[in-house]
Amino acid sequence: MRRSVVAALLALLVAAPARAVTVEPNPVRVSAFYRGTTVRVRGVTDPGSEVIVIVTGSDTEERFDRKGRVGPLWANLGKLAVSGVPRLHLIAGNAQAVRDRDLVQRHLLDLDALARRARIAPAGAEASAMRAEYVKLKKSKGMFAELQNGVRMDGTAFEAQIPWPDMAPPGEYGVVIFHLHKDGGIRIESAQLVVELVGFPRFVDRMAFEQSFLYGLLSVSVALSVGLLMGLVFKRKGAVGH
Amino acid sequence: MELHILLPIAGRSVFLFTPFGLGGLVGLLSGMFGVGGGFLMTPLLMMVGIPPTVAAATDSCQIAAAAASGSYAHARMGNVDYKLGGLMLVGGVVGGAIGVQIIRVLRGMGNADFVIMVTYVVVLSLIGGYMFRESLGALRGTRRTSVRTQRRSRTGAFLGALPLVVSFPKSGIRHSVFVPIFLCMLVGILAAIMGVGGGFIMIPAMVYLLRMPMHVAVGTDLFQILFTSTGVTFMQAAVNHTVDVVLAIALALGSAVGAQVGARIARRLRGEQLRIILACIVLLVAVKMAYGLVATPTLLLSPAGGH
Repeated sequence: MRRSVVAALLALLVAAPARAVTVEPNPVRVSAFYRGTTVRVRGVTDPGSEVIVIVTGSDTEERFDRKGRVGPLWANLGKLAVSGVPRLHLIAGNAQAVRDRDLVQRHLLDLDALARRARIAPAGAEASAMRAEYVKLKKSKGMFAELQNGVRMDGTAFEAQIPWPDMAPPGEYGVVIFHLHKDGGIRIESAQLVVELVGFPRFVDRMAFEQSFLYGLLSVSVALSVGLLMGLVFKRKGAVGH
Repeated sequence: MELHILLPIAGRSVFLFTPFGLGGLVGLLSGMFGVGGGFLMTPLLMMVGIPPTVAAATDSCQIAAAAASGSYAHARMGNVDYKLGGLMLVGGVVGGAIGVQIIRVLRGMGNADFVIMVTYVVVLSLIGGYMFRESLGALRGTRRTSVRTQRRSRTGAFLGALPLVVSFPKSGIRHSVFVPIFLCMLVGILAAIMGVGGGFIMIPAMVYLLRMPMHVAVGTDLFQILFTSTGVTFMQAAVNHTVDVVLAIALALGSAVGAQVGARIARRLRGEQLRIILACIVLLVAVKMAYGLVATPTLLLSPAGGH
C-alpha cells in the first residue's frame, strides 16, 4: 500500500540529519487582510547537484461535478471523487533532468506523476481524461504548480520562491528538498510548514464550527441590522433632501 | 496597494471592493424590481472564486439584508400589502418544502442539474418573453388592449368563482385567499427546484395574474422575501456552517445601498418601464444560461455543491 506523501515526509524528518534548511514565513499567519504570500525555502546543496523543492499537503478525497454532453447540450452528468493525492502540491525545480522515472513517480516530482497516482471514482473509460481535467482544475486554482525555474542557485546555496495560494487551508504542510547528484544519486531533506488562522478570521472560524447556533443568530442579526441601518441612513438623507 | 480581505469561511482573499460592488449591483435590482437577486448573485460569487456552497448560503444572507432595507423603504412609501404578503408567505413556505422534496427525488434519479438548467432557461424565457412583449405593447400605446381585456375577463371569472373572497385594499384587488396561497405555493416549488428566492417569477405572477400594481407587488414581495431569506440564512449558518459572515457584511452593505437607490429609481419610473427593464434582464440571464448549455466548457470538472 502506498504511503502518503506527508507520512513519508514525517519519516524522513525523523531519519534525516539536521541541515540548515529554512522555510519563511513559518508559520504563515492568515489574518483579516491576508492575500496569500510567497514561501521561501533556503538551504545548501551538494556541489554540482540540482535541487527540486516540493511543498505538499496531506492526501484528501475531493468531490466534483462532472460535465458531459447530452445531445447538443453540456450538463453536469454526476459526481466524481478524486483521492490518493495531496490537496496541494507545489513543485519548484526541473524534474525533466531526472533519468530515473520511478523516482519521479514515487516522490511525485512532476504533475504527470501526480495525475497517474490519482484514484478516480467511479472508475471508467474516461478516468484518464478525468485525471487530466483534475490537474487542470487544481492548477487553475493555484493548488498545483510546476515552477521549472523556481529554484535560484548561488554556488551551493539555493533559494526556492513558491507563490502560496490564498485558498490553501490552514494546517501542516510538508517541505521536501531533493538534491539530485550528477551520478544519479539523491539526498532528501525535509521540513514542515504551518499555516494558521489568527485574529478575526480565527474567531469567525471557531464560532462557525464550535458555536453554530450563535453563529446562525449572528448571521441573521448582521443581515437585518445592516439592511435596517442603511434604510435609516437613507431615510435621513431623504429628509434632508426634501 | 490593493486592499484585500480574507473571507474566513470561503477560505479566499478578495479585493475589498469586489463584494461591495457585486452587492450594490444586485441590491439595485432588488430595490427596483423586488427580486432578491439570488439568480444573479450566486453565479457572480462563483465567478470570483467563492465555493458554490458558501456562495449560495451567503447569498441568502445578503438577500435578507437587501430585503430588510428594500421593504423598509417600500413600507415608508406605502407599497407593502401586509395582508396579501402574509398569505403569500404561507404559500411560499409550503411550496418551498414541496420543492425541496421534488429536488431530492430528482437528485436521486441523477442528472438533476441538467433538469434544473433546462427549467431555468425555459421558465426565464417564457416569463421574460411575455413581460417584454406586454410592456413593449403598453409603452407603444396598448395595441393589444382587446386581447388583454378578454384574457382578464376569463381569468377574472375563474378566480371569482373561488370561495373565501377577501378584499386587499392596498393592492386594490379582491381574490379568494386560496389564490395568493396557491400561486405562491407553485412559485415556491419552482423556486426551490431552481435554487433561488423566486422573486423574478413572483413579481410577474403578482402583476399579471393577481393584477397588483407593480410598485405594491415589489414592496409586498420584498416583505415576504425578508422572512424566507432570514430563515434560510439561519439554517445555512447554524447547520451547514456555510455562511461567510465577512462576505455577507460586505455584500449586505453594498446591497443595502443599491436597494435604496433602486427603490428611488423605481419611484421615478412608470410600471411598464420597470417591467420592460426587468424583462430584458431576465431574457439576458436566459440567453447566458442557454449559451452555457451549448458552449464547450473550459473545464469538465467543477467543485461539487452548487447548481
